[in-house]
Amino acid sequence: MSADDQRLITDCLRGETAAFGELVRRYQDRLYNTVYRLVGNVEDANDIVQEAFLNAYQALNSFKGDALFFTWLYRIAFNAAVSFKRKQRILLRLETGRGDGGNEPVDPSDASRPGHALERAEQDRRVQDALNRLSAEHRAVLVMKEIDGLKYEDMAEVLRVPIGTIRSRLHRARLELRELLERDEG
Amino acid sequence: MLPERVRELLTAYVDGVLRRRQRRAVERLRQSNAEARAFLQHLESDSALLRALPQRQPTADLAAKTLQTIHARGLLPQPSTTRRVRLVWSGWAVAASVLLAIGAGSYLFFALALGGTKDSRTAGNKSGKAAVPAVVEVRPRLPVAPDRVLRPVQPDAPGGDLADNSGSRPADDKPVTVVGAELDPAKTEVLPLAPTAALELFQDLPDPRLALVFKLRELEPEKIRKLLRDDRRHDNAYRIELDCRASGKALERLQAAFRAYAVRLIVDHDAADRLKRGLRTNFILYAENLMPDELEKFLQRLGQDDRQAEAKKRGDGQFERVVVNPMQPADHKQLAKLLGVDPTRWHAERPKSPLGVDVRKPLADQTADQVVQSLKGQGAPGDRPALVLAYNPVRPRPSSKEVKLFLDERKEPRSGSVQVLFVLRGRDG
Repeated sequence: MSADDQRLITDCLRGETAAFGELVRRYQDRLYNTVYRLVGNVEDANDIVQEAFLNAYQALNSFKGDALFFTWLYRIAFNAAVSFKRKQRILLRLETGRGDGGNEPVDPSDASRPGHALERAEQDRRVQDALNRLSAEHRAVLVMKEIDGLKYEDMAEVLRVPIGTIRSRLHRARLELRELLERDEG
Repeated sequence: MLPERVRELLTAYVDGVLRRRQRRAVERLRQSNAEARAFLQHLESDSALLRALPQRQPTADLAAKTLQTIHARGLLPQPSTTRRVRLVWSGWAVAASVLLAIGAGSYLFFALALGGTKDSRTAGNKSGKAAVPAVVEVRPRLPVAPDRVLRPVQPDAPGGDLADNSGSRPADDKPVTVVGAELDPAKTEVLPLAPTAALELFQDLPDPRLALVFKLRELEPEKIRKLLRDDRRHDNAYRIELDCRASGKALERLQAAFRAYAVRLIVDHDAADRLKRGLRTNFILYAENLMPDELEKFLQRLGQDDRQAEAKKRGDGQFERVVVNPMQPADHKQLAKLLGVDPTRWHAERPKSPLGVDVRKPLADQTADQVVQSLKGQGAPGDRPALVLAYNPVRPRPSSKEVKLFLDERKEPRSGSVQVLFVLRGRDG
């Protein structure tokens, strides 16, 4: 864990709440992006990430410093997202996925090619749709691997499963994603 | 169709986890096999599509909102609680040195926690081999009536009973002495036996003149009325210490008295567990939104019930000395630590799930409840929760569902209402 994060955590536990604000600022974007890709909905992602930060604040004393702070935070956010999905009892969110996919931010460098921006947005929407249709397990490992760039070891740490399980889940996740994208192209 | 083994190799290649030899093998396969080439191309393209998804930014300033919520709810980092130690053995393969270290650690833990009380014993090992000493003796200190069983209140069963008359004596009512050699390591829980002075949270007031002390069974209505309405009219929070014979029975009596004032007890899981096992424990019961006259009548009712119980059967009266203090800042602080929230800071925004609804209830029920509550003002009389927590020798867990349930069900305090922190200590606690 970085010395800076450690300092902020220590300050926070001493009662300086503003130090926690700094931690939130550091990690909110990355965490939000992950959670958004997990749940496919802007408002829900905002709520889940905030809940994750509040849970992390209350559990700060239990952070032992033996792992990266972000990995620990990630696990809390992941659990919050899973818990949310369980409550919602929704595995497929076709409508929501499509709605949010239409709001994907457009790369301004594509302004000179107006058609390209639309194509790109449509492609992103398709991919997010397919992600939303994956099983929760498969979506989680793909998001962690491809969007967050986590290694097998980190993913195993977050999900509390053996590395072999991560490998086989990723394998099946990629196959399932391929199948969904093929079906969509067809 | 490619064999599954080959497809796994190709997905692992895309994951970037193959060794150099394996990567070369895949690259040779890509060149020589059209199906493998097409499969790999698709996987790499899918991977690229995922990585190319644009970075989503949060729509709100999360840092500001989070800090705001922390302040509004009075949230605090929870202390780590490590009162419960679960011994998990991996079987015959555990090294003797690990056994010795765990045994020594457990012995030291209880020696310090219990101060060498006679209830903790270390098992001798006649064979001379290193063994785990007996770590806990679990015994209900006082007899439990044969027709009563203690059962925890379940969060999803409002109005659940603290006790019911099952007519049968529970199997775990008998004393159990756990000796190291007899332990099933996979199932053994090591639990602190009794409250200790070192873990006491609620200390005596420096100035005893501020306290009102009396015997509950001898309580005179005029006296308590004078206390709450005249002498303490500026206080809106009390700490009421109830010395009792057995804290479990005392809680049952409190519950029965509260029922008459439509206050429902929510018992934390760990507290309920200790009640069920008959372990000596100090509890707190936190109630709020009571009017002073309700509190007066409640104490009178409690005293009356206790008098009747004692008259019916000698020794059945539970309560002895009662000490009433205004709640001090230190008490507030301890309570906030136990709850994880400062209860004196009321917030209009209730803790809620991501969609802002109580996911325990169907939406239609909630809508109906909200309409009823808005018509009645403060909600139905039966809605006032009170929370029971164990605080010595165990503390509630930060993730206690019952604490969350209590916080969810709290209502905005009425003007003139009081908060009451009851501290129950068994006579030997």
